[in-house]
Amino acid sequence: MFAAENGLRGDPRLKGISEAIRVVPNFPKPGIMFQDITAVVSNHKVFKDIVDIFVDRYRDRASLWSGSKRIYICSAIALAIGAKFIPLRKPGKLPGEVISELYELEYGNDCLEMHLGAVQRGRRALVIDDIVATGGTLSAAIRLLERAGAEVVECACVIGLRGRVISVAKRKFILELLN
Amino acid sequence: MFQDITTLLLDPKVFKDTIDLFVERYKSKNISVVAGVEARGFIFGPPIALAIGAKFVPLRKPKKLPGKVFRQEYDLEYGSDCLEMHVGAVAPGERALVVDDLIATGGTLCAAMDLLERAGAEVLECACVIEIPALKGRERLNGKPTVDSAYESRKFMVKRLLIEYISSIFLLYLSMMRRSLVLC
Repeated sequence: MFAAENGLRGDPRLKGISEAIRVVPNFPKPGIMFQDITAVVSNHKVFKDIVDIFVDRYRDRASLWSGSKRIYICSAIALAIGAKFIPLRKPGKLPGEVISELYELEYGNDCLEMHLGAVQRGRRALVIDDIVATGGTLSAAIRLLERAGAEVVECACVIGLRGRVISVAKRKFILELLN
Repeated sequence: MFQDITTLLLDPKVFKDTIDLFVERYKSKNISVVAGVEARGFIFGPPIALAIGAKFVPLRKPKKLPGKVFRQEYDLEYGSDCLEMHVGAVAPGERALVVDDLIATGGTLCAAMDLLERAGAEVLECACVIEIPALKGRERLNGKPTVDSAYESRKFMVKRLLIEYISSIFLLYLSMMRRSLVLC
């Protein structure tokens, strides 16, 4: 679901978030319109608004664990809601034993890894990412957490791309819908 | 021996304590930029930035940041690497803090400081959770004195009294010099 359709329609914070997102054409490859989230975190007020919106939504959900691939915003949200933070990373970054999940990107293939034993069976988890396009990365994140026995409650993203078929089956909460 | 901070992140209270210690130290230093080094600097940097009212600027490996970037090469323990920062992310005269999880040889932190200074910022300090003293990283940070502390346990519990004591001693050094604050 999109934030504007879920009680946040007209919320001035969403306008600020939208205006802060920078679009860079032809990056990383020709034809790709890159949604640059760094402009968002370099604006303190907008960054705080994003965290506040997610914290308002998830604060009362006890025992939430959060996993994230892109981690500018995730650790701040985990900290604010008192959740454990589990980084989901590209291969070779996490030391020790990991579980891996291959997935397709909008433009290629990739692999996501999570520490073995990071999640306890039966725990509830939240997945956070800055942008959802096809949902491939989110699907891989969900599979990793479910393979470890967690229950994924929701996927929270700052940006969703309009017109894309989002394959993620789980509930989604997206702040901003962009073309 | 890889120092893995992910276990710290699995304990919300310890993670919060770590961030709170940095925030207490930096909140009244008029810092407007917190620059985090990819990738584990992205875990500690953003919460610190949010809490002290600063913007967060990621310093990334090559070709990750779109648009125009500053680029700084540096030597690693085992080879060389490169760090990039967006042109325009930082304005001349801004006061900056560099955040990373760990200081080893100091090469990455030096590159981070160079990037910020090329953009005209004043780097107040480098803040790290872990130090590997044997690699003498602090000595590369212009040889200035550094602040250190002890841990009570492997869960990175910091002795607050020791931090406060050391902070008061080195207060004189803080104004115009480079130094690093290392929590363990």
